[in-house]
Amino acid sequence: MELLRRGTRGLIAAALCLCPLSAWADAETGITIEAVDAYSCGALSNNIANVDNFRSRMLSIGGYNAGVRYTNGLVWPTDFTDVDVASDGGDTWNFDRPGDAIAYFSGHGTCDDQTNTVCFSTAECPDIAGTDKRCLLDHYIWWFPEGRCVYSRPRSIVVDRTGTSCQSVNYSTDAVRWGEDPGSGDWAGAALNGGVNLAVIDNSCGITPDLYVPETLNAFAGVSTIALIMPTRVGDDTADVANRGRALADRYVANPWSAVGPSWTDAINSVTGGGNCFFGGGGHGIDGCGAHIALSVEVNEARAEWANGTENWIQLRDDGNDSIGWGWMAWIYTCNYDCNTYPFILW
Amino acid sequence: MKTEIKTFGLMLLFGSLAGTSPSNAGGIQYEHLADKSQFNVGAGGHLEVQGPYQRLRGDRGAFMVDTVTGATLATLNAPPSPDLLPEPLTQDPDEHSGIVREYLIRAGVPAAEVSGTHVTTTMKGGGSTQSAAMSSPSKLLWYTTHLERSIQGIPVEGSFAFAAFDSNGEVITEGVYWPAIPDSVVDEAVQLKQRLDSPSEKAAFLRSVEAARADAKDAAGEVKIVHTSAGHHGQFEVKAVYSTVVKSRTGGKASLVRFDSEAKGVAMADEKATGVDSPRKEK
Repeated sequence: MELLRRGTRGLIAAALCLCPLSAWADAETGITIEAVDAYSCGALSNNIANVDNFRSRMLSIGGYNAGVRYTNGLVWPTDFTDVDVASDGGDTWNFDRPGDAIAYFSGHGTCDDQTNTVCFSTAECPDIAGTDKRCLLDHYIWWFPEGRCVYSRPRSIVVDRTGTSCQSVNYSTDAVRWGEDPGSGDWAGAALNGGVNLAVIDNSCGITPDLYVPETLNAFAGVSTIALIMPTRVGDDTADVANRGRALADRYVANPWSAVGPSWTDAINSVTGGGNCFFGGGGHGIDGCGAHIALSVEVNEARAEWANGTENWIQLRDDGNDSIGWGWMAWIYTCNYDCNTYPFILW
Repeated sequence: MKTEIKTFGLMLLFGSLAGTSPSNAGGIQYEHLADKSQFNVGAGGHLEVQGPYQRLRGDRGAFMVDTVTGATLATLNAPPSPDLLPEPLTQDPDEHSGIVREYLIRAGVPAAEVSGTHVTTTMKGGGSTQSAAMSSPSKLLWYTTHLERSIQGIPVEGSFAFAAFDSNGEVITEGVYWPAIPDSVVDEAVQLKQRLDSPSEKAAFLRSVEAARADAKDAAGEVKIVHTSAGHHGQFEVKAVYSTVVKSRTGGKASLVRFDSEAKGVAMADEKATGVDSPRKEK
């Protein structure tokens, strides 16, 4: 019913607004950063530098302003959950503030979407209730591809508020709604007190290949684009590097008229460090095989494609370009290897 | 931040940053300037200066030089319509890599330091959000080929030279950061590698690594030269290190862990926090 309500509202909004560039819009210019290195479940060292490098590069030319910055114990699980959907939610003061255009989290995630169950096709993977499944290419035996089963288990941001116990925020199914504001309308009971148009989730196993809808649709409530890192082979994952955020900001600095979604995926080309991919290449901020992926959701294909491949860094600040409903998901990704010759799903 | 716009003297300003620098360094610096680039900025090309960045911009894209580091990056303007995204030059990554290698070496990337190539792959797709999971295949947009840098057999981490061509033979994107590497650092790296070629020496070194960080002992490692990244505006830093990638035991991000020749941990200058936290609200 909720999906239907949002879809209907979105269709009306789409009919009223055929052009993605609206004249009513207010500028959203803030950049909020949150990062954790001090984990009791496995300390990291480059996340805070990563978000600092991102924001300082973005602010090195005009156009954007500093939002809030929280690190380590100042990053709370409630920073990411909606104030109107969860009784203790606090995203309107933190990760999804009115007036912000971009929010960037860097830290741990969880890789419980991956299994070591051998498969040769997706149909062979055992069903797990409440999840979708895929068989992810692992290697070749002679010329026969062999895979491992992966599932659409909820994806998580991991924080450690106390420094003694890690906490997960599930953005796939919990009370996470990003981007709702006057430009997008009220989504899923989230009111109008969000703002971000680009959310960057720089964590472990941020999304499972091909399971984009069940793992991220929940978080779309007006945000144009969600940018993530997608390991494409079981056992491989995001590396803790300090230069990924700056590589993204480089695209803005180099050309503010470049498209935002492709800027995120292309940023992988300037990220250094990591481990080799089984199929060649690798590195670029990933330990093994993986990709930068940008997802956009809109009421129809044309608007989703515009948000994903055309919206530029100047248009990103415009509230009038917000997503206005569910209907179509568009994605673009750049793998750190040849994922055209070695497609990651075994059907 | 004021943007100055100039339409004359482009080559003078862009040319003021030298191309390949004659140097006694172990690794030769190459700066990929606009006059060496095939990137077409399109009609109305003009120079913009914004802080430390020089940008040659037209109606197709922009070619940017970071005047602090000498790094360059060229990117397209957003297309007016998603239908106008580039088409791939080829479905054959080897063919693409051959073309990019020839292009960048002809431009001036030192051929002797190019130890290999690899591609990254940009693809796109979409589908209805009504379906529980996507099942439509994604489509190849383009390959990007990277030249891998090594000096005397030692990989260099932090340098890059890449380019992507479309079906019209036009450059979609390119970026180069190829700083000079001092002799002393190359010598140090070669010596460390030679030392670790000895099983007994390596065993002793790994015992020291274990003492410094227990989970790094069993991680595969290699000797590398590592330098600060293309966007780092502080002092340039370059070191010879033993570099490992340590997987998380709890399923989180993998850590890049580096050690010097005495097995002491190494962090680079651009791997340090620089900001200040905001005051916390109640929630």
